[in-house]
Amino acid sequence: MRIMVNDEMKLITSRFLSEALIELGYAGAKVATAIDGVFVPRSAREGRALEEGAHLEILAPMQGG
Amino acid sequence: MRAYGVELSSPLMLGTALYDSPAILAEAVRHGQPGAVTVSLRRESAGLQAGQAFWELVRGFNVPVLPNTAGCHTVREAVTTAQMAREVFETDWIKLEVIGQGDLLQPDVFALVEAARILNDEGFKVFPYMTEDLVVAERLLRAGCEVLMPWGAPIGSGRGLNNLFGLRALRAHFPETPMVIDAGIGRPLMPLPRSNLASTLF
Repeated sequence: MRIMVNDEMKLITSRFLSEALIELGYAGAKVATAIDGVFVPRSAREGRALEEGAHLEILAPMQGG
Repeated sequence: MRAYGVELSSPLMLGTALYDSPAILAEAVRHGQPGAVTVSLRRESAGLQAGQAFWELVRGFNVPVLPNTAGCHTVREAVTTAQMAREVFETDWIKLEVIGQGDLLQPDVFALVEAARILNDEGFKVFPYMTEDLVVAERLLRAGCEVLMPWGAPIGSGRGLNNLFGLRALRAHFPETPMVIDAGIGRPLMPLPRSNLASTLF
């Protein structure tokens, strides 16, 4: 299915967020996730289904002021 | 200075952006001995793990970490970003920024109060980035904030304390509230006069 990952279109075969993160290359990464603007905690990724056209946001620590 | 029950080793908070290298940032923290360092979130590219490296650097400073919601323009964005920051930085502290005006990066104080209420209800310890407005301060305190974070001047402007009267009025009206003056304060090359002013404000 097609989903948007950080505003880039990606084609994935995974149906759940936890699997998608591995497929997209984020296995073990220190990241937080949100789907369609709603935070999905790490503990809920396994059971969180993805739907065609979903917007997945993947954020990581960075410098800031 | 105490913030949300935590005694900070210094009233100075240090941003982590715009350093030439992680080594220079680490030196700045070592010499500055700040009470907290501010950090942020960004979109992570697959496989880079840049965020992990930065997190390990910051954790090694052994000072409290204050994540921000920089770049957020709506209540929803700010709340979601705060929730994401809490998970990756492992802290309830959040520097709440909701930008309402693009040129001066001025806070949207209406959205700020609403977002602060939601986050306080969710157990966050909110540091609201605000203008030096007494009414906004009152609403933020009523929404559950225990710290205020008024701007010195617009972000990045380096204008110093733009409205000293307003800041003094805030301090006079809320004498017991910890207050952090954020943004626009100026370059580290000219800290002395502002440090003296700040010491009368804090």
